[in-house]
Amino acid sequence: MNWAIVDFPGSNCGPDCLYVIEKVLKHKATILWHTQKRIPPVDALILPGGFSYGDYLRSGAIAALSPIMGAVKEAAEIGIPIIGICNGFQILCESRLLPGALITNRSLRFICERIHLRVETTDSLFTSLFYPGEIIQIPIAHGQGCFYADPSTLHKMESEGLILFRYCDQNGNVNEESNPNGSARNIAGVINTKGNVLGLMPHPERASESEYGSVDGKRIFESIFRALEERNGK
Amino acid sequence: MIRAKLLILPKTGVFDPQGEALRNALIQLGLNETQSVRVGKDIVIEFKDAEEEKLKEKVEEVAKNFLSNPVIEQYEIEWEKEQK
Repeated sequence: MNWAIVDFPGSNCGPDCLYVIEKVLKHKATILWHTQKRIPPVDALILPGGFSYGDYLRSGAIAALSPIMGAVKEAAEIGIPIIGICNGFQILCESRLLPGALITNRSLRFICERIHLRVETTDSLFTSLFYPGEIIQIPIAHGQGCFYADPSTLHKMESEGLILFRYCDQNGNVNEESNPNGSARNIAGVINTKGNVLGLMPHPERASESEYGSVDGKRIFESIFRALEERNGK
Repeated sequence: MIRAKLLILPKTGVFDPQGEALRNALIQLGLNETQSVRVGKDIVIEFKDAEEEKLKEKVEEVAKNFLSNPVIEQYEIEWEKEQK
């Protein structure tokens, strides 16, 4: 499988994603600089975490105007799987490829910790290797990860099954205590209506080897791989 | 020279943790009457002389879709003109 990782000035998790794709999954990966206007033929795209353009104005706002984002939108349109992690999620929201916005954590603190997530649906490109309601562990590291959308958008997202991951405690309880950043309805990861664009605040690349205490993140990448294999009739 | 002063604030209903932290600080300082505080940003842009109507239209567009995020923010624009 052939992946591309889109790098913006200030992205700092691209090398971690590259490592996981090449060394752990043994797939091919290319880093694409944000000034490129075209994306070579790839099977999937990753928008990694970091602080694109210093997060000036708003997280992800300036990156959303980068030359490469036109090609990313075209890729989204033709169904290429795209995964935006942390700052990548913020960029996808600012580009209107995903609904809502990420705002400052309710606590005002930058949070870097291992948290639990509940897998809300396995009927997606990104979660087919989990079981419904499974509790997984993937770390978060962000200052602006509080997901916000107006009530009607949230209702629509829920009724269409666009919420893939919610913050929960180790027993799967989704409540205020298990919500690290104040996100609306404990939302940690969402997809677009078409189902090929995922944004998530937790970092799956940091939970891809047993040495890190969890390989749950790797299963997101593997789910994409399996979905594409099935699509290609393998 | 034409100057646009933008005031961008979180929309009503969007929780503003910075505003809330500041509200608590103001109460600690004895301003017990403080009911709410919203923290936003000011952006001041200066333009070369231009056709005013077109400029205002363009700035309005950029303010709505880039300088503010309509999902979470509202904005106001104040215009100033400096005579040479």
